[in-house]
Amino acid sequence: MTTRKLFCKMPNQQKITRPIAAAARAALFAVALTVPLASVFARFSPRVFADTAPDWLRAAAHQTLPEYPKDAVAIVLLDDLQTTVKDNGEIETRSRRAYKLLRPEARDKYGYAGVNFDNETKLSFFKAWTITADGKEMELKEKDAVEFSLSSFEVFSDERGKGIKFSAADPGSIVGYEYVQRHRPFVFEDDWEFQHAIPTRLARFSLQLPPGWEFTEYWANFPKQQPQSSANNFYVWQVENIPAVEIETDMPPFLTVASRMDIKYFPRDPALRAKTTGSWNDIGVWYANLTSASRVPSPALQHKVAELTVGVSDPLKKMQVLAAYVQQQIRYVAIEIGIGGLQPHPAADVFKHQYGDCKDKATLLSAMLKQIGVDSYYVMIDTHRGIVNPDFPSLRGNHMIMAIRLPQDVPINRLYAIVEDPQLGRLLFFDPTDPYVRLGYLPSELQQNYGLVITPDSGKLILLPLLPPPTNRLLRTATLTLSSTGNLGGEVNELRWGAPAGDSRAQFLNSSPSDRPKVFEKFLGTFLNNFTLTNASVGNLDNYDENFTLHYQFVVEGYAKTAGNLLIVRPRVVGDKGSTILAGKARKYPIEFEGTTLQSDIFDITLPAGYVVDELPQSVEAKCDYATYKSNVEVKDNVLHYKRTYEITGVVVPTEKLPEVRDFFHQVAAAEKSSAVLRRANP
Amino acid sequence: MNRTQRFVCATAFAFVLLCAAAIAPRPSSAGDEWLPIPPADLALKDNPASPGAHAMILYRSSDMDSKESSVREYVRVKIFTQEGTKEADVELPFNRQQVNVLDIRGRTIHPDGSIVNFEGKPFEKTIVKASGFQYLAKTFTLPDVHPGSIIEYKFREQSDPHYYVNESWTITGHLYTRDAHFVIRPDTGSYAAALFYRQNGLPTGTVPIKQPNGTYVMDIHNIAGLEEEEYMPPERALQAHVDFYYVNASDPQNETSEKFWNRKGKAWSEEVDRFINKKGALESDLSRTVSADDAPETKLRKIYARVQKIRNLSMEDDKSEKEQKQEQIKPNNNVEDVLKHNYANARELNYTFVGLARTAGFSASEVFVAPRHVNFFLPEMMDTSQISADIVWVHAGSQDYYLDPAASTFPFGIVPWYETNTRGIRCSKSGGEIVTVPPSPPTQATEIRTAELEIDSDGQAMGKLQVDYTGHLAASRREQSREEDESGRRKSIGDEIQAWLPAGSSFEVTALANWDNKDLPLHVEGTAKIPNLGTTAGRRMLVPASPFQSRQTAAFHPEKRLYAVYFNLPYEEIDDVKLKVPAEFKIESVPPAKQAKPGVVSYEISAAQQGNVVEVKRLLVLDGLAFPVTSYPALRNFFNSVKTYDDAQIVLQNAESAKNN
Repeated sequence: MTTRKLFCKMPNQQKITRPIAAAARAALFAVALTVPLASVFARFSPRVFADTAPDWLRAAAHQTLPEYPKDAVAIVLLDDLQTTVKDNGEIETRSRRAYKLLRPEARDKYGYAGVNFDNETKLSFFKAWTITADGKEMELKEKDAVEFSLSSFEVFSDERGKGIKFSAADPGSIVGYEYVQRHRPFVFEDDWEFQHAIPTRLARFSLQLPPGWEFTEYWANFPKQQPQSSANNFYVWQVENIPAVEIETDMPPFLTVASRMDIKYFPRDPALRAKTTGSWNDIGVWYANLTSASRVPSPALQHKVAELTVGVSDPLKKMQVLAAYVQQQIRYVAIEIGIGGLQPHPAADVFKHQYGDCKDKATLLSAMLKQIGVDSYYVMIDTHRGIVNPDFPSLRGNHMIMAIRLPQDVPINRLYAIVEDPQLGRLLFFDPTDPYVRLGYLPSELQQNYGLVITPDSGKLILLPLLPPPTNRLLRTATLTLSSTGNLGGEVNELRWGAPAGDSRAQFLNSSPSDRPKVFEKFLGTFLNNFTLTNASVGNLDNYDENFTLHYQFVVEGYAKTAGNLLIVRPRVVGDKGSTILAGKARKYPIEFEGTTLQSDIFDITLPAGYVVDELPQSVEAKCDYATYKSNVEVKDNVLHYKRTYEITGVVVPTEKLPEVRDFFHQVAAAEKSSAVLRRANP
Repeated sequence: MNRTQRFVCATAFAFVLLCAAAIAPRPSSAGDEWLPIPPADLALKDNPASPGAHAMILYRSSDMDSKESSVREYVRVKIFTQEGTKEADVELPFNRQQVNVLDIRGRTIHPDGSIVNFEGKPFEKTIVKASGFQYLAKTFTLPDVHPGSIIEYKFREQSDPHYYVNESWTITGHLYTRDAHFVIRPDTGSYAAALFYRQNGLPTGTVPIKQPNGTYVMDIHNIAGLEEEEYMPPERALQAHVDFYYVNASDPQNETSEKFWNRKGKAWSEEVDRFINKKGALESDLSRTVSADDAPETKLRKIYARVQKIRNLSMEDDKSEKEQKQEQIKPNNNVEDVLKHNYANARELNYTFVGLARTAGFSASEVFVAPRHVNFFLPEMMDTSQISADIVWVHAGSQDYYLDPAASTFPFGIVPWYETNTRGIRCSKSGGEIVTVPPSPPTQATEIRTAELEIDSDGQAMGKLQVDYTGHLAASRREQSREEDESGRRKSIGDEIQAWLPAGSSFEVTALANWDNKDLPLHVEGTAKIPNLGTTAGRRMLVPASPFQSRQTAAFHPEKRLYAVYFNLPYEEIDDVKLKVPAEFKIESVPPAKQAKPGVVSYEISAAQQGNVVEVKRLLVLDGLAFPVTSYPALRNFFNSVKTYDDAQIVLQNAESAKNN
């Protein structure tokens, strides 16, 4: 069972995944607990010894298995999910899973049975068993389980986990567990995720629907399978020998590449139909109803809007003021209990407490905008492209932003995150949670990503725009002087806007003011050795509407290497455009760039007297469908002029295009390392 | 071995006392009285004593009443930056079986003096809950918090009087503390004569002041927050803290630290003696282990090997009772049980070694030491929990040996790094004696890297790379990967070696030898591929002298340093790299030999041309552990020089163009 809730995003948090996979559960065991679990498990182990494993586990253990890759740490022998839907809307899920542990590393990842639950979900059965390689059987029960909170970024969430550490989880052992959950979901949708990070021998999903109920299913990354069905509305899907999802660095989200079946149910009872999300519009209507009372303003809120906008006549300026207020003054705090994972707190409460999560911030800003006559809508989205799938309407997503319906008189020349929708008009997408991405822009991960725009009476899925490269700009200029001993000194100025500004601001703001020189030092240390930062400052750090500027000065001893009468100097003094993402063996999955960008470096290096240029790096012009790179070095009047531009124009690179991109980055890496050779004129 | 076991110590003694006392907790009402806030604090923009922080503690008080088993905490924090507003999210963890957190109150004060009270209800978060065990946290967040706000909250920790109250003050936290006030009202009932304390890191002149009624009070000011730096000493050693302990009326009062440790050492020695008091079993086992004519060290080595053959339960996952039953694991009451069962926990193994060594005629004792990765041993603190690791001392022939047979992956003569160069208590019949375990020389932790790489005309280097880890470095890798199989070990070590190479490089392990023979170096062979090791510059190609990335340099980028530089152990890096140049190029120049020897660190590198091959030899030796912060600039300069010399360029010239020169 998958819980549909919790769409919230911390500022600058790259990824929030819910711990629904076995690997994630294991990770939780490893990191989320402050008390060593091993000792807890050891302490609270049971005293019952008359154990027998269930027949389903024995059957799974005794089957003949095909050959598996040598590096597989374990095999899913059985992944059996049995869902029974009752006419009153209650759903019972029985899950049985069996693993064969092959390697010692399996203890960490598959040595635990785990199940999630919350205040809305009752766990009525939970047991785990081990069948050792020599046939001994051991059983553990729910009372042997350890319960723990699954809160991560939230101040509080009612989502919890229970885990049982299998006895004798050694290579050769078969381990298995079974649990039964009962819940009344907020919406009738579920999924069956049958592909894992290890091979799966057999996976089965059975569904018992009440008479008159219907379902639709969607197969992701797998051909559609027909169920076996019987007359009493009972269906069984079964798949066999599913290979493991190969884990690659910077791969797309697991959910977007793993095979699964999404399913939704349609009740007979019209009263329950509201919980059905057959279309994006249905979801929109459902959510609109859930939030219909959320945006009622309090007098204090109205007063604040008036105070913030007093003397401001320009509608865009008013919107900017309110947007900045919610982004920067409302502290990110997530408290999610039950429906609170989906339903925002009332705008008045968010304003009163001055904190909230993503949907709370969207709610507050929407209520504030309404006070100046601007309509806006919730936009459900996920911070990973591909999770929201246009082919299967679903509540899947982890974040809430908003679409602002722009008044016609608002000029749009500096607003880039705009979609002209034939029905909804000119929509400006905006993320009130991300404090560093101002109105008009959109965080990179939300661009070219689907969001469900929820109006008071509808829902419409819209593809958010990919912002053009110049909106994410980094211009770095340097004036440097090289001495005859190879020492280099000078100053660098950076001008940043869009994503490079947001990323850099976050780095500096997260560091305490006294630690900010370390941010410069860490950056310089990536490219330089034996350097001293002599001066550093940032401009417009808190003024997000202006370009972010960096100014730093440094000296580097022995920057240029001496070799006899030669002086070898790398013109690309700082900055790194290369990527090792495609190094190593061929990849199976696509890659994604963070976003589009246009970056330029212009460095002038005054050369030491008495030296002449012996060799200069060749000009480089590398290009692929997604990026371009140009660099050029020339010497005039004893000054070495280095100039390069780097531009990312597309963000999702399909697998078939990876060789082209790999070649591109190989050229970039070689160009970045290339050096000029100076020769002493009169040795 | 380092273990979680603790000895019978002052804290356990306090626990017993509190259990016996069984005084029922008195519920106390929580008042909403708050301390006045000086206007200057409302207006404060930064910490004048240490500018540039996100937040600081203006005031904190901790008032512990041991009779009531309660602690009242009060915290006032000034927020300076948006990042600092995270301090408004408060989490108070507690063990439900022993303590509850009650009477939580909180409020936010704005710079204009206006107040917003916390009116919500704290949440109770389950951190870990199991049968009979609940580790929970009260969580709440304060309202309307912005930079400039002062937040304050207070609460009461009410312990069950049947449980031990942790009577200690930890002053150093992650924030700067301007003013703090600590009180402890002791419970000196019939079982405990007096309350004493030990302290670490308090400013000069600041100590707990004993009041006429026995209460201790301490006011402390301007304690810097703990920050993270690479190669820093153990956190506990940097924290200012005061630990209190009771002394039983029947125990010596006002005992010197020397006498204290002597008494403790004697008691522990008796425990060892009781365990190994099975002469027949020891003699029988010894007769099968050593020969009468073996040299003393040979005997010791054989005993060491014998003990390490016993299954070490401490190196395995904790076992549930069911698993123990399944495996028929019974407790070992004495050394005879150990030898009969052929399994033991780490401490029992070391006891067994002592027994066998003594039976062989050697002087041998258990030594309890401070594991350096946790804390340093301060004898004057009279706190037995400091020395939570144990090893064995043996005198054989004319030599003293410090050994840890329970460290299963460590060969004879080498104990884990955190048990070297540390102090502890050697236990004997005559009492405990403070001893220092000698440091480990750099030659006992050597990394020997030999490579034969061929560079192609595109600058890519490819070839064989071998690494031999000796001593500590081999043993620690064997220990870290002991739960992995061959494939897992290859991956772990392969990933480690690949990380030494420039970004984008690969390293494929082809052989991993001597894994199970801990007396031999751990030998790794593989194929390295380094794209763009050579970079072209017109007709020339430039190649760095060392293909390996310096591992220490990044830690020395910051110009400023707060704490001493603290390495785990002395070590050596020995490199011999042969670089074969592409056929189209000839060697124009190689970097000159360099060396740097500013003290206990030293470095030398040289490159020699042999036909179309450049052989680079490099040696880096670190022969020290702790460097005061005043040494940081010199150390920084040294590692910067290492990187500079490593990056010196071998210059190749296109053979065609060279011909025309």
